[in-house]
Amino acid sequence: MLTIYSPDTYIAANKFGLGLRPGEAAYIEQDPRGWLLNQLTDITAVPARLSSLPSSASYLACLSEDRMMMQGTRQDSNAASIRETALRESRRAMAQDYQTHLQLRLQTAVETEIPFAERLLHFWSNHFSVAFSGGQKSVIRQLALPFEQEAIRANLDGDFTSLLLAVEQHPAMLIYLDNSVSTGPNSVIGKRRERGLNENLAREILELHTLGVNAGYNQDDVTSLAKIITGWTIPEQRIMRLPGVSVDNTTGFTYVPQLHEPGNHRLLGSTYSSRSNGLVQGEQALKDLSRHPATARHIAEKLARHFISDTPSQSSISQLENTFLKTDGHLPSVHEALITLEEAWLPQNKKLRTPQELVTATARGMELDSAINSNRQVVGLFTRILTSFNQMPFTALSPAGWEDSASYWGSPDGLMKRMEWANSIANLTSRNSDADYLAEEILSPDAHLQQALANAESSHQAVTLLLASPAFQWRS
Amino acid sequence: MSDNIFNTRRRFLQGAGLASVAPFCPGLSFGATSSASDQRFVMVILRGAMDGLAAVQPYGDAAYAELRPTLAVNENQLLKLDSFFGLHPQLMSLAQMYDEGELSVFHALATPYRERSHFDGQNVLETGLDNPDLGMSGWLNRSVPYLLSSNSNNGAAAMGIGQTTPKILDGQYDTASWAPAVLPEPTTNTVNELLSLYNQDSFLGERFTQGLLAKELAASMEDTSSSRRGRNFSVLATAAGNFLSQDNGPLIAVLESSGWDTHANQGSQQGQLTNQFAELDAGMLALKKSLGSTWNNTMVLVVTEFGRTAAENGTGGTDHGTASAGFLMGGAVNGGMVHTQWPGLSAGNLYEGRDLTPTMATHEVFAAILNQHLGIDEASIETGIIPGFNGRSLSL
Repeated sequence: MLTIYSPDTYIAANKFGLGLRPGEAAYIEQDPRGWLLNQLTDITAVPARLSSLPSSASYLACLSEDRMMMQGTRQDSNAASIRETALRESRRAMAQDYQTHLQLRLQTAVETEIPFAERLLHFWSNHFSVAFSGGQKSVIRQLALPFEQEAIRANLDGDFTSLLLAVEQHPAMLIYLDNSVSTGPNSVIGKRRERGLNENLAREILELHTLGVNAGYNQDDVTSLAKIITGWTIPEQRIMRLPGVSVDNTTGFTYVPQLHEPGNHRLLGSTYSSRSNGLVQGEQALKDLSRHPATARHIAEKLARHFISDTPSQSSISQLENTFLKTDGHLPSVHEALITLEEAWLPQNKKLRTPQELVTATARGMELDSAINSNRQVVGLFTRILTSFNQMPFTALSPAGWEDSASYWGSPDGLMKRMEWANSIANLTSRNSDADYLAEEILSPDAHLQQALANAESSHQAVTLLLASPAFQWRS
Repeated sequence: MSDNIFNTRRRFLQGAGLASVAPFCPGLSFGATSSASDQRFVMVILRGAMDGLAAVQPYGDAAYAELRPTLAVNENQLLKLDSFFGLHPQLMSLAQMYDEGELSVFHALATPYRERSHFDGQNVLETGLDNPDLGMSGWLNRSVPYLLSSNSNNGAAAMGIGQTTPKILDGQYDTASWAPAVLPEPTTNTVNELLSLYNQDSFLGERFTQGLLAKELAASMEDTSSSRRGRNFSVLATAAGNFLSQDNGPLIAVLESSGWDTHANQGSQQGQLTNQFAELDAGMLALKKSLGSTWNNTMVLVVTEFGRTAAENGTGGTDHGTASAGFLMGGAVNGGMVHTQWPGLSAGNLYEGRDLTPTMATHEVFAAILNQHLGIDEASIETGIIPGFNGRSLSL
């Protein structure tokens, strides 16, 4: 062995970060905890790759234009064919943008020099999971990456309240969980057209985003919160002319008073008055939810499970919870508390890399930067492996986001897929790769792996063994 | 039938469910060699809360059309099961199985869970317990020791068809999983090297071995469609049938389907829910086909975590509810009947004023399958697998 780095270096880079790149360890070795801490300073900085990403509002404006074109052609004799073309073009744009966004997101994760900050972004993005599907929800293909930047990244240096508000007022979330079509039954529009409440977002705010399941709320609270946030919607042509409508120029978030259920509403024993306007009523309710002790506990548990192990100790959870409560959910303080948890630094506390984490760590470890930038075949490979794992970004099957446990991702078939992935990467890279050197640079020392690499019959086999090894599957 | 006090009728009485027994194959076996080893079971989990009232529509209940002015399917277009219930028009294969006495419906069916969280609801469905916060192992995992032979080198008795392990299979006993390969595989030599590396890993080691065994079995299967690419439900259902029909295959397979959370614009005869029904129907037909003669000793249970509101909501969909419907099909099913004690849909009969009231217990169906189909004794079921349930109140 030429170099031996301390366990802390591997844990900082592989467990807190997104995986070591060759040559990085020597620098991190100087002060692993300090390296992590410093990353919190720049956490909201927009990565270069994403600096010209269009805003959600501009995507929504395009969608609105497409829709108008489709409607405007109704009287035309060629109406059907024009409509069809417009629809097809709109779908094609969405699919193309999604591919571009995937590549940008991967590049950002592979190139970042502050991978702990990027992991935190991914953690919160998964906590506030959005996913696209067909019909009206297909536009989430385009909105998801801007959502991640506008609602999440931009708020990671503030408190949980701001993060929560930005998320729940973002069109991607409002469309995903149907609040954009929810109508107060006694609102101006509700009384006129037989539309009504949709409680999807309200329930998931309580269950997934804030308090956590079984935290003492009931069906009445769900219904009440659904009423409180009626009128939180997206910019649509027919409502924009109504008096009092306000629109956020970046996200496209739109508040329509004519959709808002009038009256006082009770939530968890507190009354939210109708004297404030409907927007403020909802903001006040979310603020109270964001600071609720159950929310502190819920967030602490999820962070501990993500950064310590699948079974973190109660005392670590309590430390995070206390920091959250003491600081009113100040995220930099909570994130800093993660670094100070002794349990997170014990080498036996490992987390299994999810497929997304695996491909990111592979690209970083194998320095696939230029291949990802220029080689369509390589990008296609990433898409195929993530599709086969059902973990393409922004496609989680439930609003709870991706699972965060080894028993889920470490299935027998999952391990076969990981092996095939490693083999495919070796097909691309093995000629120029020194697996022994890479093993030292990106993985904590593993005698069995070193032995296997030493005995490998070819550099192709060595790279396959390295990337498919159990050691590379773990964040440790 | 004691459990069938409602007005339902059986169209056919199926002949003896004891179909021909596949020849016992000595040597290394993937699955079990217990006395019940010719019986097969497929569990299909519909994630997201399937709208049981749309799947099996109670057109004979006067309140139904009122609760669902835009969603109820016209009576004439339903695939009628009897004078009260009709299947959604997309469930054509299921209707045919019903006609042939190979499918039973359970209605007003629910687990003991009475809240409305998908994740807790699925937890209760998959752990077989009555509380989402208890225990983590899945009830099919706990069934494994009652199915397995003593040969620990064998492949697992239960297999998840998919890339991840569903909770119902999670636990201390090894289970298998399989999904079509999408990338080229490494050489045998490399695989063997990896096998010895994985043997050093206490958590991943046995899982890796199970992965290899499933791959081997898949390679030996004649029907090439099982290695077809894709994650289309029918492709996976076909693979499940192929695995179960191998002499040395698993006894139990788990299939998952998602996309059932239809809060908005779920549609009546077109739209999201209709597509879901079409996919389910095609998948079940594909499963039957790929099982071949094994279908005769198979039961397939299709269930969901809970149902949806009896009334449509303000956005052309339905919100989280309580009771739903389930399907039991297969050649081993004495079918052609609707098991239910219909609670009624009038305002006073709804659970908490909004949901179909549960009168049938999903857990009791689980217990009945374990006992009547897989031959596990009541005491073991009642104490260790589905606590408090023995399946005695049902005749499958």
